[in-house]
Amino acid sequence: MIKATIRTEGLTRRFGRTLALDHVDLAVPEGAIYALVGANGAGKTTMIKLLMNIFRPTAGSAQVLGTDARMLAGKAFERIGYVSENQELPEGMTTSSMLDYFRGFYPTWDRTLETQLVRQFDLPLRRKLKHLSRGMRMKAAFAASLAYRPSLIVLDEPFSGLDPLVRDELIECLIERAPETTIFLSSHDLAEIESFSSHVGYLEQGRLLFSEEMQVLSGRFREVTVTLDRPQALPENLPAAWLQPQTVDCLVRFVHSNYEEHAAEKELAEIFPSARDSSFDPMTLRSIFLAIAKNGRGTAVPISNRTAPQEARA
Amino acid sequence: MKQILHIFTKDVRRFWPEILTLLALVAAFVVIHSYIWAVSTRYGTVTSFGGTLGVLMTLYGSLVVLIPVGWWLLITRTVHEERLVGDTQFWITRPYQWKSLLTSKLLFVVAFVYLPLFLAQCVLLAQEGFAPQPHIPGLLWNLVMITGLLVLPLIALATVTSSFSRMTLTLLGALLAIGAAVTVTSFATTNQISSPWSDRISLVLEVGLCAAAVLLQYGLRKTWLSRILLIAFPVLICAVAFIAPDQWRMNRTYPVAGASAPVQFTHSPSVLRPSESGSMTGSSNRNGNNWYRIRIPLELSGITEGNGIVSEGVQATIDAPDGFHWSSKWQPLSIQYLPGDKFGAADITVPSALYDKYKSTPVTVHLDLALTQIKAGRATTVALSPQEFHVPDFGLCKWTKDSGMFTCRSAVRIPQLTLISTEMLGYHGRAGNVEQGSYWMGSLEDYPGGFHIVPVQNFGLTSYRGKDGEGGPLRTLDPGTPITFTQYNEVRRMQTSLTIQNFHFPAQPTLNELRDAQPATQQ
Repeated sequence: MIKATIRTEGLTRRFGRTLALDHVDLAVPEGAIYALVGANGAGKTTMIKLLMNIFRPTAGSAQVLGTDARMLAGKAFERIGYVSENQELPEGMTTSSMLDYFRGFYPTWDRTLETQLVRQFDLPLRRKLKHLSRGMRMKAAFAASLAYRPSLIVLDEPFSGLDPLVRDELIECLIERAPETTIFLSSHDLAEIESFSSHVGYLEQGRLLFSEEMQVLSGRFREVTVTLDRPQALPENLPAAWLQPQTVDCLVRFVHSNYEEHAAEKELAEIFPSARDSSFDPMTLRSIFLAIAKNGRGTAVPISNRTAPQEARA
Repeated sequence: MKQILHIFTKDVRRFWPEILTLLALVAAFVVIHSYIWAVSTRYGTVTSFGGTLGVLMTLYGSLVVLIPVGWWLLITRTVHEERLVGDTQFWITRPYQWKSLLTSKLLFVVAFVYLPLFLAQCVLLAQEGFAPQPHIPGLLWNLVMITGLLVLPLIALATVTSSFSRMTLTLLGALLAIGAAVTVTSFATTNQISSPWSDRISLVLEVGLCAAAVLLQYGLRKTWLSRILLIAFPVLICAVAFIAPDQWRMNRTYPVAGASAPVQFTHSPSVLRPSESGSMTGSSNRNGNNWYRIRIPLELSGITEGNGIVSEGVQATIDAPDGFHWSSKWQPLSIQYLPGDKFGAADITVPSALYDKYKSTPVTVHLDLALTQIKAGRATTVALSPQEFHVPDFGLCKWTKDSGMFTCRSAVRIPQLTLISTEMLGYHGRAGNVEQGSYWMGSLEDYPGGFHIVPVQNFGLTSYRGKDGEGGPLRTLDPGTPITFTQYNEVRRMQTSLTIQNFHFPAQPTLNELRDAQPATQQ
């Protein structure tokens, strides 16, 4: 079993009749930058709040840094940095007084790092938090959550509504922190997380459709274009891993969700013996998710939980 | 401890304007009280005022309200600084220890609610001639009462609300709910006298539920459960009223004494004072019905030397020859009896319809009397002085010859029930005759303090009760007249009863007679 910073088993949360999270099994390896993606309302924030013991699970369990999430309180948060787009800050404080105040809670608070973050984010120390722009507030929240070098950073939609410049600054800062911590973040902006995440999990309507390394995910999805020598109807019983198959004249297009070079070519030759040409093009994360989404929400997509974070990052 | 002080310091920095405002209110209260006290000391009791003094009196009255309002604001703000309702607060994912957080908030309340009040009360006590040190337990008890009745409910409501506006609405809702509970309870409770048992149950319920809600919120942030606990308070008050009926509560508080009663009452009109044959002494209108107050004269015996009896309440049952049966609720009846007292009375209120129907028919009246046996304790005799004089364990007293008023004030609480007796020149056409006059002051409650902002209780005596039960306004007391203050302590509470056969309702008095009628009750 891999050493996981976060591990959930059958994690379920209901709000009345609404099933917000449905038996989620997840493992976030130590040192990973794990991006939990999904559409709005997919259950990402619920998942994070369960991990942070803000909500209590209806069923199942979660372990965070080796502690049952339901027991997470007090000193346990000395090792966790949490930033959320909806999180309130002590609005009446200035940035400086907030940092001064939080410093008292963390034995591992690094004044040098704090100074560095303040400089890096160009934070106005004398202004009250309530007078800061959204971007500045988020930067202040980042500084206040990174300065004590937490073992786990949990971010809930951290880049939502921020301008690209601020996003890049924050991402850059996270990447700098990555070697010494595990980062778990939720987002519905696929492009931004693709650039730096090592792992990705996809939540849809409360269910985790897959959770795997970014490299593995990118590697197993291919946009396949097959040129036939004559127009042909799609055969029945196509492999389950072929998503959204369609044909236009002599062209057949689909997304292969379990691509392996030799096996895929062999499989193609068997199904389309009259194929003149074929191409297997890598896909962006956005294209992969669109393909999955269009394939029919909830339709089985092979789930992988393969992890090799150190390699992935390398 | 470090975290407690860390959070406390942050709150002080955050709320220094509110803190300073509250401290200024308390300081203003002390200063204005001192000024009014100085004026009243120099010119006697301030009964009418205008100009600057009028403004100050108004301001003083406002401050008595504004200071608790200031507490409400400060408590709400400091609790909401680390809001317990919701899931987006910054502090819930920070290394806050809930015990430290709660303790820091309590420390804040102690520092800026209790301590200023305590110091202000010490200053006021000293100013009014009382050394604060012996009264520290009473002042602390006062803080305990303020905590139970005001501060703890405010903290509890703040923990289950997310903003000041919601807190305000919730507070109004809570007041309405308690008002509704009292109204509902009044349907179940026919008592007009409150039993200490009920009051204690209500207090224990209120403190227990509020404390549980606060601990639950800080410990687990179970907002709905905490809210349910708070909502349960008025519901339980109603439930207790319905589950524990009046008679049960009265029997528990005043057990039936039977033959062991230290006093025996009989109805014997033949030994009545001339002015007190059976009489109707008043009328009232309640719930759209007219009620008449009937005085039933009683003869009493059996009170042994050194003892006394305080009559606290009466319940009457009337049976008419035609089978009609009527029972009253427990009605207040506050009369003190001492050895040698022969005459007593029970005032009962009956519906005018009952009176009108049976006023010429003999009926059977059964009276249950709620009594407290008291025993004489420390007696102190003080020579009347034109200056203010100190009475140990009672307070400071003063006789103002011009106004004929005997005024006293006590520290922190109303003093122990005390009989003030002296020889004075009589009234009612007997001027020049020296007779024994007495007056009861104080309370049998044995709590060391009360629920006050002002730590000095003022009370006055303008009339006396003569040996034969008659009394009149105080007229002449000469300097040097010995006045004896005898403290009485509660021995036990009990119920006794008597049945009066062939009771005739008194004739209906004229309006003038009604107006002139003076009940024999004291205090």
